[in-house]
This record gives sequence, C-alpha cells and structure tokens, in this order.
Amino acid sequence: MQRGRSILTFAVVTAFCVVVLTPSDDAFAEEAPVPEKLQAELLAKIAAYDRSFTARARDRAHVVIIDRPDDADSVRSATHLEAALHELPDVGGLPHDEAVVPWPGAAGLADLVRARHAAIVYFAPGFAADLGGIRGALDGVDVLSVAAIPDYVPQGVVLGFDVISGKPKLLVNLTQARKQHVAFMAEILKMAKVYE
Amino acid sequence: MRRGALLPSAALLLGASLATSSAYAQSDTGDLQSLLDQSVVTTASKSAETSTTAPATSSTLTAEDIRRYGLHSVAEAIDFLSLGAVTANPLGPAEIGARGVLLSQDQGDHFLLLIDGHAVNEPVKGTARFDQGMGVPIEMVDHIEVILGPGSVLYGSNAMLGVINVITKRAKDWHGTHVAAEGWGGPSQVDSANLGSQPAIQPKLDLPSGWSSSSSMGVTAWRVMGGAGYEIPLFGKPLEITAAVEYFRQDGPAFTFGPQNGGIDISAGTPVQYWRGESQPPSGYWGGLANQDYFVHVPAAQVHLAWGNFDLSVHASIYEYATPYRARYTHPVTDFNDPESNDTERSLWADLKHHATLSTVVQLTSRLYADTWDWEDRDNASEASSCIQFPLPEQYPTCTYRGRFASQWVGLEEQLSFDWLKDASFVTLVGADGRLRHVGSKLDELDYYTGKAVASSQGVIDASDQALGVYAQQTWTPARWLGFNAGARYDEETRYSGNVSPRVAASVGAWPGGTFKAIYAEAFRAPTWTETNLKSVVQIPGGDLNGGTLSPEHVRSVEGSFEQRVGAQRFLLDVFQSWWTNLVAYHQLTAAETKQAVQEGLINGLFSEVGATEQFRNLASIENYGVAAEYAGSAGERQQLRWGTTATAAVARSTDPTLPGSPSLPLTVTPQIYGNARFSYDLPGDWPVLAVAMHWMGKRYADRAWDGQWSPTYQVPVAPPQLELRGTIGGPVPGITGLTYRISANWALAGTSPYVVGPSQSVVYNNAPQLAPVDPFRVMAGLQYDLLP
Repeated sequence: MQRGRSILTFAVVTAFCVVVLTPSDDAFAEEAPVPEKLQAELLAKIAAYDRSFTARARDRAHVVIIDRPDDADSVRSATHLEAALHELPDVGGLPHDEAVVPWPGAAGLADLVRARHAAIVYFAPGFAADLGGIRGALDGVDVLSVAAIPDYVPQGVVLGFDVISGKPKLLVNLTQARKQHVAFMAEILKMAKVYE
Repeated sequence: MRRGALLPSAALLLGASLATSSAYAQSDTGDLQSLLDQSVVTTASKSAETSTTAPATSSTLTAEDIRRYGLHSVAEAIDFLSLGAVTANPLGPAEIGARGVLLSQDQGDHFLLLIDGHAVNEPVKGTARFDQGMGVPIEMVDHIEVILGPGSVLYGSNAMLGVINVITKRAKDWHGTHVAAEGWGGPSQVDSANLGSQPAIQPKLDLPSGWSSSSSMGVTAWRVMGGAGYEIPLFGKPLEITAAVEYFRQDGPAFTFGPQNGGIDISAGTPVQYWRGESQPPSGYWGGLANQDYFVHVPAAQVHLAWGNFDLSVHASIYEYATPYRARYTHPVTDFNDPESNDTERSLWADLKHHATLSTVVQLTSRLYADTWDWEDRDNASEASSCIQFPLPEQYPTCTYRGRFASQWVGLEEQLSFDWLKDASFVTLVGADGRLRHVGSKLDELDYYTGKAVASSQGVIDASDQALGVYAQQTWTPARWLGFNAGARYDEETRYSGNVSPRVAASVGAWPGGTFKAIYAEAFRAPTWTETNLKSVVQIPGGDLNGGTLSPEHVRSVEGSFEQRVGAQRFLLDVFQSWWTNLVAYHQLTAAETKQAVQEGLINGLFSEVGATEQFRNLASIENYGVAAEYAGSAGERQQLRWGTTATAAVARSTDPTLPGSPSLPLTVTPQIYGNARFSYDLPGDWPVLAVAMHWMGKRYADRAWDGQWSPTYQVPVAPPQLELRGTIGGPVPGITGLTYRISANWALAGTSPYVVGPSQSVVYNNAPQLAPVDPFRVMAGLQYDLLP
C-alpha cells in the first residue's frame, strides 16, 4: 500500500513538473488584474474627464492598442480590450474606433500615434522592458497613454488600472500626463492613486 | 428587538441618502464611481469578473473596511459586513451559516473555505475555522470573497452554503515591514449565572474561597503580528514576498455557570463528582466560576511568494483552545473549570500554482498542493459513570478521553481555458483535481493520574484513498448586457459513487446600473471519515444496519437577484429557495437495532444499553427559502462618508423523512432574521476615522431545543435576540510617521447564546436548561507601525 501511494505521489509530482515546464511564450508573462471589459468601461468614462480629450480627438476617438505579437498574453489582452471597446457606444462621449497594432518600437511610437491621429494609446501586457523608451517617445506627444499592467504607470504611462482589496483602482502618472498634455479634472485625481 | 435593530438601520439609511443626494448635487463623477465600486471577484467562476455579472450572489469584504470597523477575524468580518452569512460563537470555534441555515457542530464543513484559492476543509471531520483558528493574520488579508449558494460546480465537496475565499495581500499592496500589537480588556469576570445572589448554593460549587460576584477589569486577550512585503530580484526577475507571523492569546473572561444538580452517580453510588479534588463526598452540583478553561492560543504564519508565472502559498498554524462548559456533542463529560481539557489543531500546507498562456486561445493553470492536519482533543472526567471502561469498583476515578485525528493529502489540479472567439465572449473551462489522502483517528481512555490506557484504543481509522473531481464550465456573453454561465462537476472517491454538481446562471443588464440574475445550482458534502468509519463503544460506522453506507449530503438551490447601482450607491435584493437532502445526523439505535448490532458484533455486549449507541445516518432534510437585501454607498470626494446595511429573512425547517409524520422544526442555533449596518466618517487630515458597526440577530432556538425533551416540563430553550455594537476610531499617531492606532469598544446587549451548557443537556436531569453566556463588553486598543523603505 505504501509503495502504491509513493508511486502515485511520484506520478502526481512528475505530471505537475511536466505541465509547468511545458514551453510557453514567456515564463514571466504579465497578466492584467482588471478584466478588459471593465478596463474598457473605465477608459470610456475617464476620457471624458480629460480636458484636452475632445480637442485631441476632434470628432472621433481613435484608440490604438499596441501588443507584442510574440507574446500570447499580450495579444490576448489586446484583442479582449478591442472587443470590449467595440461594444461601447462612445469613448469620452465621442464615437470611436480601435485597432490592434504590433509594437513599432520606441522609435516608431510617436510617428504611429500621430499617423493614426490616436487620442488614446493602450499598452497591452509585455512592455515592462520598454517603459523607458515609451516614456521618452511620448514626451510632448498629445495622447492619453494607458496601461493594462499597474506597474507601467509609475514608470511612465499616464493611466492604468489595478485591483486593490477587490475593487478597481485608477492609477495616474501626473508628471507624464502633463508631458502628454493630458489634463484630468480634479475629481478624477481624488479617486486615483497619483504618481508624481 | 426587531424594531430596536431596524430603527437604527432606517435612521442610518435616511441620513446616508440625504448625504448622498447632497454629494451628487455637487459631483458628476457618479457613473465612474459606480464602476469603481464594483468588486472584482475570482471565486465564482475561477476567473476575474465583476460581482455584478458573476454567477453567484457575493460580498467582498475589503481590508480597509476590516480595519476601519475594528474587526479581527473572518468570522467578525462576516457578521458585521457580509450579506447573507452569519456566525455563532459557542465560546469555542465559531460556527457559520448562511441564508437561514446553520448546522451546529458541523466544524464549518458546509462552507468551503479557501485561502488564496487553496481548499482548507479536511476530510476527517470536514474542519475549517473562520475565527482566530484560521491562522491568517488579519493585516495580511487583502479581501474576502463570500460567495453564497451551492458552489460545488468548480470546487467539489463542502461548498453547500457557499465558498469563502480569503485572499492575501500582494507585496506591492503591503510594501515594507509591519508590526502590530493589540490588547483586549474589560470585565475579567462575568457572573453570568447570577451566583452572587445565591449564597446558599455557593459552598456546593467550584468557587474560589472569598469569591465575589463583583466584576473586576483586566486584559483578557492580546496579539502581536509582524509581517513584510518586498520585491527582490531573483535571476533578473522580481520575486514578490509577502509574509506574516502572529501570536494571539486569549484567557477569559471568566464566567459563572450552574448550579445544576447531577444527582447520584450510578457507578459510584455517591453524588456526581464534577471536578478533581472535590471535597468528599462530592456535592453533586455542576457549576461555579470557570476562570481557567476559556482560552485560545494561536501561533500562525502565512507566506506568499510570486515569481513570474509561479505562486506559492504556505501556511502553518496551531490552534489551542478550551471551551468553559460541557456540551452534548463536544465535551459531554468534561470536568468543570479544567484547563487540561482542551483541543489542539495543527495545520500545515503549501500550494504551488503555475499559469501559462499557451496561445491566444488556450491558458493552462496547474496547481500542486500538500496538506497535513491533526487535532487532539483531551477531556478529563471525574464523573465515575463517565469512565465507562474503568475496572469496577473505583469510586473516584478520573479518566482522560483523548481523541486524535489526522489527515494528509497531496493533490494536483489542472485547468484549461479555451477562449474560442479570442474576445472573452465564449470561454470553455475544463479541469481535473485529483487527490491522494491518508486519514487516521484513534480514541483512548486513560487513567488521568497514571496516563496509562485503561482499554484498547477505539475509533481507529487508518486509511488511504483517492478522490477525483472533473469539471467543465461554459461562459457565453452574446451581448454586453447578457451573460450565461453553465457548468457541472463530477466527483468520485472510494466511499461513495459519483456525484454530479451542476450550475446554470444568467445575468441581464436591463438598464444602466440595473442587473437581474437567475441561478440554479447544486452542491454536495462528502461525509467525513469520522461519520462513515469511526467505531467506538458508543458509535458504530455510519450508514445503516443492512450494510448501507452513508451517501453525500446534497443541496439544490434556485435564486434570483436584482442589483441597481447609482453612482456610489448599490442596492441588491436576492430571493432564494433551497432543498437539502441526505443530511447526516446522529441516530440513537432502538432496542431492536441494538440487539441486531450486538448480534452482528458491531457493539460490545457490555455496552448494549438501549440508547447508548449511535450511528450517523442520512436522516434529515431541510427546506429553506427567504430574502436578503443590501444597501451600501459612500459620499464625498474621497468617499469620506461610507455606510452599508444588510438584512436577511429566511425560513429553514428540518424534517426526518425516515419518521413519517414527524413535525418539521426550525433549525437550532440559526437566526431566521439577521443583518448588519455600518457607518464611518473620515475626518480630514490626520484626524481619526470614526466608525460604528452593528450586527443583529433575531431569537434562536438552542442547540438542544428539540432533542432535549424540555417541553412541557420546561420551556424550549431559546436565545434572545442579539444586538452587537462596535465603535472604532483609528488614525495616525501625531508626530510619528508610520505609527497608527486603533481603539474600539464592543457591546453585546443579550446575555446568552443558543447553546445549552452543563450536564443538564436534556430534561432527564430535572434542571432548567441553561444557555451559554456572551461576553458583554470588551475594549480593544492597538498600535501598528509600518516601516516603508
């Protein structure tokens, strides 16, 4: 009996090891804590509280969602957000469209945003190593940058979402917001965790 | 009481509504606040979603509210904050129920307890603790998800009343080093039995010389906690470490009990002896001052590591406690005021999770876990007739009943998620959870003075088995306002044939902020090993006398709810009905059954007295229906003003279908109406947060109300309605960065709880039933220091 149990235990542990060592795209993949559907609803509401949003977007809000095609978590999160935004009637009170775009590299980011007249640029997971480049590329660019991953906000993305104590929380990088001409109303900043 | 409890709630709601109206006249961020007030839950469908659309009615109890309202355990958080769930305090491990069903003495095994997703209920007794015995420092709790209703569809056994998932903090949310110390003070002695007014009986009771009934004040409990949350690099990637250790100690308060006249001991031929060293001959009375045997000692540690796609949780705790009275099903023969009659539970487990996104469609979650748990129960009895295996004649023996229970298990759960349309609108979840288990138990009767066994061990269980559950769940969101969730789980183990637990749910967003939900769900509880296999001189293995075995308990439930969110306000109305069958209960063998059991060798002929032997059987059924409602909200730019109230009204009646014509009776211990209300205000700057919370319950039939045969000799014992009030203030200590304080006071207005105490557990002893006392007043003061790097 003891021997049988040992064999079974060994089999269980071996099975686990095989499973966790199954090759995946990234052993350190990032996962957005807030469901994309809720992120989309929050984003659609918050945009209206950016005093520059209407001027930036003019008559239509173009949302660019940037993913990393070689990162399944990144692609997955981007497509979820695109689908969730597509369901919403407006973003910041304006009609909208959204497109998933592969990471153009930090050097091409500003050009991409300008070329697409993007009012919002959303970064799916997978950009932890590129935040310095993103921050630098968007300095002076009139766009609201948004992150799926909370850690991106203190490192240079204007807006992000987290779950704290089971409730969604807004994160705002105020320094970066100023650099990107994003002007959130005071009411929003009071609701958010603000990084300066 | 009902009016008394509801009036404050109504006043609270009125005031809050007025404040909200005023606040919203000045602010137009209500739509955003409404989204931010939604809870993100992960327990109901094993994926992150808002509570509004989750396939269950749930409450999320946040760390902020737990601290704000001066709460220190999951049981307290449930009572003061949650919707639909309620606990009872028998001066021992807290009991838990929901929606008008609380099955006393079940060791918490009708609620599935998860800690960071790890199932805690063990197989020997189904034990899960919701008070300090849980062993998770409250400062480390990020939030608690309380999922009401049958939840076996994804979790298997035990999730009959619901699932409680205690989620601990991540390092980023508990950054730095934290230490806390708290103490509870108040009356160190409560003359709950009013012995001070009965001087004539005092010499016959266990009272210290010079005893006075007047109360003295003192410290009755304290705790210290140290913890930390840090991120450190490991192989170039951040390793998140969150860890806390805690020591909690409670001693008292002392309560008075009795007097209860036990009469003549049939073995000794003298008045019953209820404590060691009693003057000779013993008085035969039970009662006095229990000033040594109401204690709780809990050292505990909880660790969480996160590195890349791996999460590791480790838990260790020891829960040592003593309950200061005899009770029929827990400590039936314990000496009065004996600190050596106590219980010790130990728990150690580890749970390693791995998450992999295999493609844009497929995700794989793996979980490997291992648990070890044991429980030692020691009861010293100086009542000669209780020492049933002592060689006769021995006039004044003291025997020690020692029960040892243990279980170890290791398991692997694999879960695949298929996002077929790549937009999260049509997702299939399939999983399998397999366990290898070992369970054991042994009951011994020892001579207290020599420590030697007086007979061979009883109740010996030494068994290993496997348990397997496979499950599938399909979610479909055809439109933003419409969602469906359907699933089923199949469970099998060696002691019973397969069990299927389905669930079907739909949510409809009817208009902005308004959501209707309908849910049908089933759940089961595998009988514990002590129910199915334990055999002693007073108990035969569960089932029947014809070779039948115990079946799992089963519940099915339908419910419908409506939730409306307007800005920072939320209103929820939930109606439910459930049918419980195959409930396991004690059955005293009849004369014919006793004879049959003796013939079949199930009972030693020496112990064949009719009524002396019991067997667990699938006996009872419960029909339960009711309504629950919640209203909560906040106002102010930073939500300085917060309030909430819940109320549940439920009917639950139990029947024994094996006895045609037997009346259906209300459940004991369970309140049929109960709820809570809370209100807090954050004063500006470094001024404190002021918070008031209350928890109320209607009358409750005592645990022995129906099987104690009290009526017509005595009235059926009923605990009066209870109103518990807690006021708390907390904030930063001026001038010392990182140091915060918290002071709270707790009042309980009713003096008794629904537990019959002492040897007079039924009318045959000719004493009126006495109910367990309630701690009437306690003040807590604490300091916490957060050292941020």
